[in-house]
Amino acid sequence: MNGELLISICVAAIASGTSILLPALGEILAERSGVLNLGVEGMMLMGALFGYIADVETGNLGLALAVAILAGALLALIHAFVTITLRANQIVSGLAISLFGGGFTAFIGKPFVGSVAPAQLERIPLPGLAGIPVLGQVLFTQDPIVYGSFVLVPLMAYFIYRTRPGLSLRAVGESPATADAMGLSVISRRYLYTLAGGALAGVGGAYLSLFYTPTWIDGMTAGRGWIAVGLVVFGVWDPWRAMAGAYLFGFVDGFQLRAQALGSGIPQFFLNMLPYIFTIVVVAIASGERVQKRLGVPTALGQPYWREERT
Amino acid sequence: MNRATDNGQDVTARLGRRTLLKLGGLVAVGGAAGALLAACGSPAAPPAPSTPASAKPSPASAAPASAKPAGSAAASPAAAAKPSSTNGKLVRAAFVYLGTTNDKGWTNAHDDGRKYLEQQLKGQVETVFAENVPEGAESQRVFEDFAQKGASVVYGTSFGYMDFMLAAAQKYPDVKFEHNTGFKTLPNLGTYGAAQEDARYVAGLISGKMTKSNVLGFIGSFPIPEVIRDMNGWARGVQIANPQAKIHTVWINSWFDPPKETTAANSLLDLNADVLASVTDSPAMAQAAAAKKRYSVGSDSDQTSYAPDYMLICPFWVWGIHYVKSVQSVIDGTWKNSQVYYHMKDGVSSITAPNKIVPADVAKLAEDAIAGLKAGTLDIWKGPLKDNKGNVIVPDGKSIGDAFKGTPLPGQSAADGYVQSEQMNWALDNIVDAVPKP
Repeated sequence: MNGELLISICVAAIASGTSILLPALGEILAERSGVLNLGVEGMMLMGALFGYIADVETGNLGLALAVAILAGALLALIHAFVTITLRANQIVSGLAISLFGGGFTAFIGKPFVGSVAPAQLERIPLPGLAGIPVLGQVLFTQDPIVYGSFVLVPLMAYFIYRTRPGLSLRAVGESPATADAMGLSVISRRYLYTLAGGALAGVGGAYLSLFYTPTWIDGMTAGRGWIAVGLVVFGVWDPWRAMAGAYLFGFVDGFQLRAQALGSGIPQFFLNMLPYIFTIVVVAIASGERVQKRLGVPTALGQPYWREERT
Repeated sequence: MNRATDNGQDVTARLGRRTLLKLGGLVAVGGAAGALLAACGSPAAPPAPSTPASAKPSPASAAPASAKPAGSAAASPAAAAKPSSTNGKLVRAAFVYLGTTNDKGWTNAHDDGRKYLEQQLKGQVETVFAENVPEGAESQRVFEDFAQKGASVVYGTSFGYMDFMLAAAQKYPDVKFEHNTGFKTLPNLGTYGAAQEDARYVAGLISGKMTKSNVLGFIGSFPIPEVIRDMNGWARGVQIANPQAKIHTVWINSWFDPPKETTAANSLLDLNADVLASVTDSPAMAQAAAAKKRYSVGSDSDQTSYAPDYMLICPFWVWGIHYVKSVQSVIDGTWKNSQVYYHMKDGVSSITAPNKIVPADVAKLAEDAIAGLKAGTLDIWKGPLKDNKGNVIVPDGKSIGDAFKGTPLPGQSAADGYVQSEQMNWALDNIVDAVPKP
């Protein structure tokens, strides 16, 4: 395997990793606030479809992204209402929303199957930076959404760990009763971050339908929403680690297909299995209770907040 | 995650009935809202859709692509009944589809066949269909429903319906059933299939001539006979047109995963492959190739719109020919539980005209091959054929039927028997990689 090929795998890893990174970042926000959102797959599909429809109807990429954000957030609103206001089981609601998103988009998207996105995101090599050998080629010959994610990750890390609203976010996820006693509105924060999570999932979906595979096909995310949920555990609720995980996943995924194409002689079923084995191993390591405590899993994750039961 | 789960159960127990009631209400409200949305959503102007994302005939793994939760709601047989006349003499033909009729791929091809049938036998036949029928026990209910509602002949268009059609056919011995791509039969259950390898061969001729790097790429879904024969058919065409060209293969173990198909295509393009072909269900490969200005070969139905300037040619199906024949035999009372395997000469396995970017002399090569296949004078499996491990599969002067160990189905040639059997498990000698063991 030569250097050029390795670079091409890395470029592809970042592009394919970004479609998982964005929903994972959104999920980090939601889970940090204490809301487990298993509906990411459905929200990605919503973003993918409605972003695509807006693109087909208007040819305006900016508008398409805005619509994708809204579509993802809209589905997240249902999850938020069911789990935060009605205090239903977050797992059940999330699963239902994933299934709903898949079916609903397949139904609405019927007339849109079979065309190519008229306006597609393009790779834009950043002047100057793209000329840096290796690193520049890998990092700075990407598309605007990837660049956006480069900015979003540090911003989010700063927000979560270094700002007051970020502290409130963590407080709501760690101990909602305490946060409530401090005068922070648990409900409104949880709504906000769940919606933000849905919006990012929507962008992740639109990234697939407007750039990576620029078309609409039923169920085109093919399970990437679930990988994003796993990635949050992998990244122990930290944007930087989620980013590393997303790129690693993209790399392993791209690597195994290239290894096949190169005729590595390694059984392809083993290679196909690699990304998932890798995910399972990391999730297994990261879910040890001691590890979790040290890493700071949101304590109130998955628990609806009942004001009456404040203790 | 453990902790979250525990909490979830804990909470459910605590909330109990109250939440469930609320949820129930919510579901009702949501359902109504969904219906409203759907009503508003459907008239939205569709863009000019042109082509496919096909579903697949074969293994059960095709189910996930089509078994959408919402889809099953559409799987109600009576949904699309089209009573066309009241003279009571109409033969009712029912179709059970795996995907949606406008998937622009596998199911679309069958539905075009249904429309063709209506048009050809106007006044003699009425058709009904059910779409989005998963390959599971639910399909049996759909088959029986059609049988009960007076269908004379029922067509099941996916491999995974096999056992359920068998059960339905046993229950309704007076109704005729035909299973696409299956192999089990009863006195009232026949099968029909077709060879796309003929069309793939033609595509291979063009691919072999159009490559400049002499490196080509193939993306496979599952290493089963149906896919391997398409791969080898294409590879054989490449070999005839260009003995120097080599083919790299990548298997993705999925019928349908557009992002993965894209990644797979890119990995082949990175190896300098300049013509790609695939047996997968989305046009992602063609798009990825076009994005890098490389050529591709489509499949299942006309996918040219996905890569108008780079798709060399596209094999597709014309099932209507079979449906007309079959229903006519029902009308005439000559229907048999036959097991047919169509070829290009029958018109069922077809191919688009070569793209305008294909030079005239290359297009001519393809047209001659098509003429040969239609006339029955061209045998794509004519020896010598070697696999890429050095074994001689078909010696010089022989054909693949001579290598068949077993008995062909009634009415089929030994060659048909071979390509549909597990003996089709090797890769032609211009393919670099071995076929993975299933």
